Amino acid sequence: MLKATNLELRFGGFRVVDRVSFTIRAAKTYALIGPNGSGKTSLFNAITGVYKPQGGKIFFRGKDITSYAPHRVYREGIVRTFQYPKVFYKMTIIDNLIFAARNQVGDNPVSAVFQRGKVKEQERNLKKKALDVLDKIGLTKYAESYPSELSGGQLKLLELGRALMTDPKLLMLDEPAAGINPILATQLFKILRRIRDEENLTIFLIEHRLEIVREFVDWVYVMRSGKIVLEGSPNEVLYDKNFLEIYTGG
Amino acid sequence: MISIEFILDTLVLTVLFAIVTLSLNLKYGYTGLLDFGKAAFFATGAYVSGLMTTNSYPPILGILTAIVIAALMGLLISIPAIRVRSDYLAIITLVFSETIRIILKNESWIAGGVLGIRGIPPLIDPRTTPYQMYLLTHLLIALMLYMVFFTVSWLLTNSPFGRILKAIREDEIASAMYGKNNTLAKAFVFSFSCAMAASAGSLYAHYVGFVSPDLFVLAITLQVWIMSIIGGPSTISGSFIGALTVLTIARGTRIIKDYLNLPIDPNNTMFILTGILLIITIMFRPTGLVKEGKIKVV
Repeated sequence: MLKATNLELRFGGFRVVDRVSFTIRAAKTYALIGPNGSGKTSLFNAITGVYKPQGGKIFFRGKDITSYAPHRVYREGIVRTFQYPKVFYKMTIIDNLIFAARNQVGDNPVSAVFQRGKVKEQERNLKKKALDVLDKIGLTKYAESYPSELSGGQLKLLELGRALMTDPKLLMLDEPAAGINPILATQLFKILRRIRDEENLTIFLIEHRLEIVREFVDWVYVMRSGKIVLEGSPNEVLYDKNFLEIYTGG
Repeated sequence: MISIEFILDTLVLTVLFAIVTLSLNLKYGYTGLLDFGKAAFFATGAYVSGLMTTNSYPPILGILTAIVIAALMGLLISIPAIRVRSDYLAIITLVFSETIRIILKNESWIAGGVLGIRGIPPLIDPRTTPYQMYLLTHLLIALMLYMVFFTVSWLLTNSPFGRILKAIREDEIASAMYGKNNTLAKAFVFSFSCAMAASAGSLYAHYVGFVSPDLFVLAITLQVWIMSIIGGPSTISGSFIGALTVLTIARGTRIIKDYLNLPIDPNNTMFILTGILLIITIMFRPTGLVKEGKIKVV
């Protein structure tokens, strides 16, 4: 589904992503793990168009999407969340969700003024969809509240919900459980697992702690200093003789 | 004594400034674009209308041309401007505004240089109508224009497009990641808001009867900013309330000074009061007199 070959991202002379190649297959869940500063988020940024890679190619469903701007990457069906939730604090939660939906007539300013009927009709449908998503992530009662009323974990859920609003073909989650205590994190993955199984999602996620996602993912890529140094099923990776060394930098 | 003419005159200016303030609210309040070039687009409208009507084109054509030219100018300046971060945008627009003013002042072949354009015809002949009617007509025309922009702005901000604007203000990367074309949205806001400010400038030129570069100094831009901040930048109706508040102080102090014996130069009371009000607003009601509302599409 997603295939990267020799992907390279440099900041000055520093190779943050160093000729990385990997493959994501449909309806599977992948984890990208690795110590701090190993280039995980940078790799995500290179795929989603936040940074332009200096070398290599990215293919999504057979199409070359290297150097696409973020809004074009989105159109292809890739959506990502952020490690530090980038929600819109001055919009209600339901507005945050509806914002993300695809193909909105009213995104065009001229239609927003002159095709009010169409805009309203679409809005009603999107509102239903948003309430559905809120139900899935368990935030229904906050629909008309503002994100500042949510806890850190709930903000993560809101980001997840916003991503789900886009009917993603590939869902990329940057540390969905970062900064949340382990119990909540396990709950979050429970919700995520239910949604994944219901909607047959393809997920690529970043996580620090392999033990949390061990049950959840099918395949693990391990990054260190910009390179993918190890890959395999969670158990293979966990019991690999080099794994500890990669993590502790020994 | 406060005469009815004085009140009408204040109201005409209030409505004209409310239009300019509304254009700033769209740009700054909703989209987060710092624009310190409002005076330039106000001037564009005034000058285009002035030039056209003194060359005996009808006023309506002058206003429409002003709107089109300002929209194009807005689009033009948006090309370099929307690629930079907010504070640099403030500098670009400020420099742009001052450049326009200085060119108009020094190149007398364009529009009379320092002397400006005189004898711009009013929208209604003052020799055949009583003065109150004359003021009232201008007030109604200005109000009509304001209502049009008010309605369009309301529809724009209470729509999915309005969500994009707020999203740009809060987090551009997140907005782009959800498929929104920030550049196009910002270019549209730039262009639309410049056209709005220019149309107010057009009416202003007809109402006052002359334009000169000194009418469009930075102080005008800053006054509009104060109106926006006091009224509530992220609102539509705040534009009128802000303009009314600031102009009431500005004009009210001119009357009050005849009745009060102040220990200070009475001409400064306006600046002192506006300043105090601005400080109080920022300290105790940073969102402005009117609060930012929820987006209502349905």
